[in-house]
This record gives sequence, C-alpha cells and structure tokens, in this order.
Amino acid sequence: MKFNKLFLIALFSSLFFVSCDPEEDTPPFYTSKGTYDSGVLVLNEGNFQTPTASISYISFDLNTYTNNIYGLANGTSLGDTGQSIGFNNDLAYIVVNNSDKIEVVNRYTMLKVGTISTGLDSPRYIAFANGKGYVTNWGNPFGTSPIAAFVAVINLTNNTVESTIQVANDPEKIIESNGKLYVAHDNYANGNTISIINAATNTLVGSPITVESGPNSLTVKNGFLWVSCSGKGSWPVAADETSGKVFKIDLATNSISKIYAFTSAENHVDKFQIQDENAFFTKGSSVYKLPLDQVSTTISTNPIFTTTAEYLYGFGISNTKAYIADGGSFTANGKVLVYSLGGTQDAPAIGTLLKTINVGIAPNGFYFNQ
Amino acid sequence: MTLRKLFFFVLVMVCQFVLAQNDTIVLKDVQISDLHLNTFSGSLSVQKLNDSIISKNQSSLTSLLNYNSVVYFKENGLGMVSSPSFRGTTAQQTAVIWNGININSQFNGQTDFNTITTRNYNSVTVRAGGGSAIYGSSAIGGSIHLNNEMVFKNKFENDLFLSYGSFNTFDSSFRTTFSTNKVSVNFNFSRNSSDNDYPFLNSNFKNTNGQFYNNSYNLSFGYKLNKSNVFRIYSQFYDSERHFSAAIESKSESKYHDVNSRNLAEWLYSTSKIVSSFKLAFLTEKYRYFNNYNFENFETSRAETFIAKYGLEYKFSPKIKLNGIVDYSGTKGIGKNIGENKRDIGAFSLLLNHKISNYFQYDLSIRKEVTDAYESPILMAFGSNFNVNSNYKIKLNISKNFRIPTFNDLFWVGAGNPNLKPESAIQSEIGHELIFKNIDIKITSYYNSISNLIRWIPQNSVWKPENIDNVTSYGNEILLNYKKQIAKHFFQVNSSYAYTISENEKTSKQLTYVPFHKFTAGFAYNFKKLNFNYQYLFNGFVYTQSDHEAFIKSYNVSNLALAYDFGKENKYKLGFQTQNLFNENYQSVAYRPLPGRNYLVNLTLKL
Repeated sequence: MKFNKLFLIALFSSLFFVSCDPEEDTPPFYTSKGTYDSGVLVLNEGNFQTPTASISYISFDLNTYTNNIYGLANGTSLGDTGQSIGFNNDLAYIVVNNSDKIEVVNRYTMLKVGTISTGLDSPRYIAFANGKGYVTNWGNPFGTSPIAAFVAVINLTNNTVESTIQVANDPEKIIESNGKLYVAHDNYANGNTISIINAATNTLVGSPITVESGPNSLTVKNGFLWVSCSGKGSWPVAADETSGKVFKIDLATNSISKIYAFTSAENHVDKFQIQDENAFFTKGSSVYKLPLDQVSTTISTNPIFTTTAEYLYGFGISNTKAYIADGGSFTANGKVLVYSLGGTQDAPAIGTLLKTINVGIAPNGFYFNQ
Repeated sequence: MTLRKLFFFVLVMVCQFVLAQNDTIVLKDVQISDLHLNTFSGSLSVQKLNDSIISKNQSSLTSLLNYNSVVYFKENGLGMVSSPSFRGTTAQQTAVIWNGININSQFNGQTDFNTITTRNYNSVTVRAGGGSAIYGSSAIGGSIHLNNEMVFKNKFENDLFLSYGSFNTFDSSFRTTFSTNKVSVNFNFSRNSSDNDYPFLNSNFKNTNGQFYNNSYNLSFGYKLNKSNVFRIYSQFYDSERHFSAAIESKSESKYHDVNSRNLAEWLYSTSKIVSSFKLAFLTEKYRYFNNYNFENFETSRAETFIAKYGLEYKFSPKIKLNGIVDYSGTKGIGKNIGENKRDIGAFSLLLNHKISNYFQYDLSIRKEVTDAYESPILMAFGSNFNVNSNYKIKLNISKNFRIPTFNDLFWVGAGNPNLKPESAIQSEIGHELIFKNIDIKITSYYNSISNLIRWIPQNSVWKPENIDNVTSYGNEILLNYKKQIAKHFFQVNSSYAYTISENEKTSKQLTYVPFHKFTAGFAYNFKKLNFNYQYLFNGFVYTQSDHEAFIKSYNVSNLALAYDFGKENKYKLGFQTQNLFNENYQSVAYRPLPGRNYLVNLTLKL
C-alpha cells in the first residue's frame, strides 16, 4: 500500500519533471522504455479460484520495487491463477490459467492492449513462432465428453485463437527453435515426452522424444534442447520412484546426446535455469549447479547454497543474482529472496542474502525485463 | 375478536416466550435424548432456539445461528460450504451434537452448517464454552445441539411449510406428529433447492455453478413400556448435491454429493433413585467430489461409526447426582485418499452434580479416552452457579477440552501424520445473568488457551499436517432478551454481541476469518393475526491473509418478514420476506459475494 502510494507520487513527479525539463532526466546511453523496464517482473499466482493473481516489479539494482503493477496500471485485478508470462517484442502475454484468458500488456508500462478470452481451456504457457502465439492448454481430457489437450494458435494482430493443434495430455512448457515448437508433457511427473510441432504447417511432426518422467523445463542453447525432468515421486508407488534427470537433445536429429542423473532415485530436480555455461536448479530449498560441459553424467547432490525459503515456488537467475520465490504458507503474501551467485570480484560471496522483498500471494516465476 | 380467541393467542405467544427464555425448563411430557444438556450446562451461557425461532429463519443451520447467536460464519457463497468460528476457534473446534451424539465429520473434523436443515428439529441449543468432558472431541469453542423432542400425550398434528423465492429457491418441509401417553411418532421430510444464480451487486458477473438441492428424512419413535421403561429410536437420512460456485472472475465446474445417515436406539430406565440409559448408534457419511460435473470421474470416501454408550445416574439425595458413563466408538474410513483404516475409542466419564443450597450448586465432570490412535489427555470440567438473589446469578466454569486428529490428518495417503497429538485447550469463563420481569441479560467473559493446533504445512513441497500453532482467544459475549406486552401488542427483542480476540501466539496476529465484533438483533411484533419480524446482523471486518495484508470489510444485513394468519388458530399463515433489505454488497469469504435484496413468500398449513 505504502509503496503503491510512493510509486504514484514518484510517477507524477517524474511526469512533472519530464514536461519541464526532459533533458535532465534522460540517461545518457539508455532510454528507459517505461516504469518497469530494467527490472524483474514477478508473477504471483494468487490463490486458486480467487482473482488474486498479480505482478510485482523489482528493479535490477533491487532498490525499487512495487507490488500489484498490473492492477495499478489498469485498475482491475489480473484474474484467477497467474500461470506464466511470455514476452514478444514490447508485449507481455500473461497467461491466467483458471480465468481461461491471456492478458496482453505493454511489458514496460503494464498498460493493457488486449485480452484473449475465448478458445482457451486451462491455458499454461506461451511461445512465439512464425508470427503467431502458441499456447498449451490442458483442456478437459477425462470423462464422457472429453476435450483433448491442445495447443492454441494465436493470431497476434487481433488476439484471437485462429486454430488448435490436438496434443497428448498435460502439455506444459513450450519453446520455439528454428520454426519448430517443443512441448513438454509433464502431468505431475506421469508424462515423459516432448512433442514437436512444425509452425509452418501447425501439425505435429515426427515422433515425440521420450525423456524421464516429469519434464519441467525447456531451454534451447547452441542447437541443443536442454530438458530437466523431476523424476517420478515416491507416491503412489514407492518402488516406481525415479531420479531427476537432465537431457541434452541435439535439435538437428532430435536425438538424445547426453543424460545427467542423480545416483539415487529419491533426488529430484525442481526448478531449472540455464545461464551462460551453467545450469542452476533447485531441490527442496537448496540451489545446485550443473556445468553444461560437465563430462561426468552424475549430478552432484552438494548444493552451492541453501535458502531459507519455506516453500520454494519459483526460481530465476540473472547475472550475479539468484531470485528465489518463497510461497510461505500461501495464506499470506509470499516473498522474494535475492541471493548472490558470487563469481565476479566485487559480488558478495555465493549464497549471501542480498534482499528480501514482500510480493503477492504465491510468487511462481521471474521474467527479466530489458 | 372474542375473549376466547385472545386467550388462546396469549397462551400460544406466552408459551413461546417461556420456551424461548428458559433454557433449563423441561416440560414433563417432553423428552430429549441429550440427558446432560440441561443438567451440566448450568454454569455456561446456553441459548435455546425453539420451534418458533426456527420457523422465522431460513432453513440452514448457518442462517439460524448467524442471525441469532454469537457464532460467526464463513460462508463460501450462499448455500456453499459454511464453517463456524465459535469464540475465535477453528471450524473443527465446534462440536455438533445430534440427539446427544457428536456428528462432526470423521474426514475433516467439522460440520458444514449448510448441510443441516433446522426444520428437522424442535430445538437447537447453542452451548458456549468447553464441553469435551461430556461430548468428546471438538467441543472447544462450544457445541451446537440438535434435538428432536418427544411428547407423550394425545396429539395428532400435521404441518406443511412451503416457501418460494428469488433465484428459484424452493424450501419445503412436512412434519407429522402422532402421540398418545404410550407412543410417540414423529416423521419429517424437508427439501431445499435453489438455482442460486444471483447477480453480484455492482458487477456484470453473477453467481455461477451454485445450484444445489438437499433432502432430509427424519423419524423418531418412542414407546413408553411402563412408568420406568422407555424405548426411543431416532433416524435420519440426508442426501444433497451441491455445485461449488465460482468466485468473482473465476470458474468452477465442481460438484459435491453427500449422503449421511444417523441412527440411534435408546433404552431408558428410571426410578426415583436411578436413571439408566443404554444407547446404540450407527452413523454413516459418504461424499463424492466431482472436479468437473460433466464427467463421471469423482473422488469418494466413506466412514461408518458405531457407538455404544451406557450411562447410570444415581441420586444420593435430591441434591446430589452422580453419573458414570462408559462408551465405545469404532470408526472405519475407506477412500482412495485415506486408504482403509479403523479407529477404536473407549471412554469413561464421571459426572457429579451437587446442589449445596438454593443459592449454590456445582458440577464436576471427568472423561478419559482410551485409544491407540493418539495420546489422550484427561478431560475435565468444573462449573458452579451462585444465585446472589432472584435477579442475579454468577457462573464460573473451567474446563480442559480437545479436538482429535481426523482421518484425513492421520491417514491421507502420502501426507497423513500418524504421530499427531490432539489439539488441546484450557478454558475458563465467568458469567453473569440478570433476570427481570421483561428482560434478561447474560454477560460472559472467557479466556481460552489452545495448543497443538493441527495445520497442514508444506514440507519439501508436500503438504503435511503438524501440531504447530498455539492460539490464545479471549473475549466477551452478551445475550439480551426483552419482551413486553401492551394490550394486544406483543414485542420481543433478542440480541447478541461478541467481542473476540483470537491470536496466534507466535505472531500475535488475529486469526484470519475471526471478526473482532459481531452483533445480531431481532425484533418481533405481533398484533392480532399479524406478525412482523426484523433481523439485523453486523459482522466486523476480518483478515483474509494471516499476514494481515488483506481483509474483507464489515457488513450490515437486514431481513424483514411479515406474516398474516388467515385461518383460525394459526392454521393457515401466509408470509412475505425481504432478505438483505438494504441491498448491502457484502462478502463473507473473499471474492464470494452474497446476494443483494431478494424476496420470498411462504405458507404454513396446520392440518
């Protein structure tokens, strides 16, 4: 609340300044594209079945932060269950899962430019290819009159669903590379495939790539697709538990070129990010590192540091910082914990807590905005 | 109007007042199965809501208690899941007692107050304060007693009640009572249904997927073999289907089907020295939850509970009564989420009631449960009454109470924690009762320290129940009752106020969904065949997040009812009601608005 007010004052005074003397406020080399440029957008999922999704902003220098920026810019709540955000040029596509909609906003000002509200059914993630948006949707695949899971193809000029591509159950993360879309089927660690869609024809191509159970992240780097998989949990059948794994897939042939795994089945990979030549991932409340050029296929169980998060619900990496989203009890606002990743001479030691920032309910993801 | 008619009317009205007023009066020919409710509640604040009050309210237990008692409700939209908070406690810390038997769900430990139809009962009694020493688990904040009264005198009566209102809301109940001095039979059927698609005020949205129906069948049968022996049977069957409505800007396609049955058989033997009671009860509950009502997939669990209870009361003198009770309850729960598990609980209780003089009396109760399912503390209560004079009474009560872990807490597959301890509470209270000719006032102050609260918290990304929180709650309650007759005009005012502090000891923050203030008032006016009734409810703001970052604002809701008796002797009564008269835009649970102004008409026929 306080910050909202502060922010408004800041906004008005900056407008005032701009109109008086535009020269003085302009940085010499970089022109800010809006209030929320040069910072991280934190998507707060909110509580399921209530319109409590929101977005928080934290500047890269961690000195400025504002909650509820979508609400501030547009005067309405974001909706029920903020799932993910996809950037396309200057626009941010905010996928709101249980409201069956996508809010399209300017990513630097948060001002709304459109809504995709029909043709989606429990939408999850969005990617862009061939001038279109591609959105994974759970549909309603079980029961007597099923609606199969699908990928909705979005016409980005008029923000409508122009066609759908039926896919296997529980499509989650989606990523574009070279005119193809790769879709992970997670299904609470019951799925273990990656489907491939040709964006030129909007059809499934080839056969799905089989990975470990629970593919939960996709990253494309130098012609390879990196897929992290949580592995199967100990429930319902303890004997079925499998270790978390990381797959390196050659996109030229869609063949698996390397698999990294833990040595024991009870270790799982939760949130996974790649920066430069390293992957960072979380398991429980700890952060681990896997160099992408590691020769050994064994994933180390020694964390690079351990966080104080009660319930680690989101994870992001940017340069020398690790961003941890702590859902806490989920009955109260969550927190973002920012840790140093060390690495450079003037950065604090790895695992140093740099800042704790209160955000909205159930923060689940970080989107670096520049 | 003839004198005779007037006399009859006065009689009816006064009787109603007497019944509404006096909690401890039991008419000789009227019997209830909950033997200890009258004997062991003297030191507590007890409020009996009889037939005439029940008939003035909407049929859900939520509605009755929301407008007439200090109990606060959190209602997930009209007719949806409704959880009480009594004296700042959680929903699992209020026991619902059906004819003396605790009926809180074995799965989640609470009763959904929107699944109880009040028209099935002759009286509903609100007993504030600890009661575990008599009623077992959950009687921490207080207990709600649903009683079917049995009458042994020549009587044959049929009542039909029909009500229709906004949003295609239909309520009906039929009751037939047949009794002689030997036999008493009462059958009752109720059905409530609603499309429940009310528009949200100041919004383009309306309540979606909120339709529901419920049916309940009740039978009570009593047979007086001779002066000493009475056999009684109570039976209830309840079946309901509710769609769970969506919050603002949200969607829901879920529905919930539940079926409960309750059966109780009792043999009562009494002489001038002893009262012996033997009870057998069999309770079943079963639910099916459909995440999407279009599909056949559902989650289901069922539980069966068998109870055997023997109590012997011995009167050492007219002033000293000692009661020993032995009971056994065995519950079997089966479901995909809870596996197949059994729990057996044995218990011994000793209750003493001693009237030292007309001015001073006390009661003492001790209960110990024996089970391998959890560590069971000794439960106790001590209460005393001091009549300072005929207008003023002081009451004192101290008790130790508990709430046992539920089947979900203990056995939920992948999360259940078999090492849970019961939640326990020590409560003390002091009450003042002022009684005058037209007015009576009860003022109660209490202090309750609750430890080992069971909360589901995340542990390595899995939610598991733990004994984690300690809560201190304290506050004041005031109940006021006023009645006055001027010529043919009868006035009655009932009012309640609760001031509640309920803090998590770790954070010193008020619990979510516990208002600091709740106030209710009812004003009734009768003139000849015309009845006028006004209800008012104020609920203070509540926090909706444990960090106090979000809250819902306070609200004022008023209801107005008019009824006219067209027949002779209350035989044909037509009523008209306006709910939420001032069109208050309010929410009881965040993002779930309740209806604006709406109307209903009703008809009561005595055949």
